[in-house]
Amino acid sequence: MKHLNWRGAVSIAGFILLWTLLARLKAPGFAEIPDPAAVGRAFWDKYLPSAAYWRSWAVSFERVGYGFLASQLLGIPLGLLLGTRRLFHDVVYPVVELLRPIPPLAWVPLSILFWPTAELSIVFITFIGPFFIIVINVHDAVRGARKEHLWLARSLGASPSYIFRRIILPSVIPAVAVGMTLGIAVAWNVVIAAEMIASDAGLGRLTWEGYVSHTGTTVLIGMISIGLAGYLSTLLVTYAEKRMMPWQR
Amino acid sequence: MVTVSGLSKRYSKEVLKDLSFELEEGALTVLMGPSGCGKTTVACMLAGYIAPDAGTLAIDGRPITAAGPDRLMVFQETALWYWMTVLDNVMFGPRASGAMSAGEAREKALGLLRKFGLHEFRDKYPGQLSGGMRRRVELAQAMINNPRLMILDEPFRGLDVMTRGLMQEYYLDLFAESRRTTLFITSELEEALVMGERVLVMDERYLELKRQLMATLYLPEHRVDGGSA
Repeated sequence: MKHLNWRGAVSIAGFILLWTLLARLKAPGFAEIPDPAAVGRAFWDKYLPSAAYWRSWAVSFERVGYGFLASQLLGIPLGLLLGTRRLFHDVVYPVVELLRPIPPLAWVPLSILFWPTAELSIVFITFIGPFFIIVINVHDAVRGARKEHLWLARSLGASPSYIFRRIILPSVIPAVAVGMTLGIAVAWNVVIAAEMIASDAGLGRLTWEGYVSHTGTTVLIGMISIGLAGYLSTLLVTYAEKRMMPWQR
Repeated sequence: MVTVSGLSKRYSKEVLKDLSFELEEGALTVLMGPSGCGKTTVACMLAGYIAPDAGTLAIDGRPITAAGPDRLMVFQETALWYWMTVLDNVMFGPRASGAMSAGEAREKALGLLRKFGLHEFRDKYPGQLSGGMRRRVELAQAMINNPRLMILDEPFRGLDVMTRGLMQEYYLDLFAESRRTTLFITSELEEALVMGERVLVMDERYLELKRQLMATLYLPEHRVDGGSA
């Protein structure tokens, strides 16, 4: 059995205790914030049996899933091309550098104008965040490939395509893994904000509706759900990374 | 026979100027000099990775213009591909060049790993091995291709004293077995004296030191010879 992290458990218990005290004592700023027991009761009575609540999970997960997957499927080849093809790099990289600093949420208005449905525009915004991260990570990894690795392969008679498959591709896997870890966090950040702005479903929307209706329990359940969803996604990505890098086990 | 003639190279400053030497067939020659004197540049030129600004390099009269499996180099820092197992690293050469079938390459690689005491580590990754073991894998990775010239560029730098001594002995035994022409690069006089049948020095200051050492040391198995390269 995996060793229980007692320090972590105590830390979480301490946090809940502190929250309870501050909420019950109506500390400054806590007047409208329900205590953990109220949140727990609301979750148990209202949200756990609610199909709409679980649909919010499914909708957000689906958006993150599509946006994140598309960002990796398009970003990794683009990063490889930028890193290995000088002409392509010289033509395309300046555009990437121009678009990269634009925060994903700044794409919201354009995205709504461009895409025919709100759903597509949210998935697109969720795609943009991790996309530039993975492109730059892979590009830098290809450019930073150790010359000795490439030299040795050349000495041993490997053709350029063999070197690409057996040396360059695997050498960027650690950078892809870092890009995935950063990217999934950004994808959740972006999807929640986009749902608050431009959607009628999802965990972001649930949290926003709690705010609009002055229902503190809904806001907190939404926030905790987002935290858990992000944590579960990170677990999935970490699992994928371990499969991708057997040499790090 | 490897011939180096009138080699010059300049980066931001002049690294090599009119360097000439020969490597005798079947000899273990040490190229010694202080850090930054251009030893690695010479090694990379011999391996075909870097072109000289002036001068020529040739192996058996054929000019060296590109990398090739007849001249293999062990780098200062390990260049094993960390995402491949030990066995895949060793098999890489014959598979990449198409010189052997997968089965043949595997058999030969396993034989070499057995000989190098690494058979039970064949499925490990380089990051799971000690420094000395990684060096032995690199030797096996080179040997499977049966190169004419081995270039070892400060291969044991960074190893602890005991492992370093063992690796020096290890390579000397391997060399005695095959008499494969070797250029061994080091910046340390002691290592040069242990390894070299012939020592080429790239800094005149070493010549005086060598003369002093020759007066007090007797090396019956290793003739120390050489001059300013």
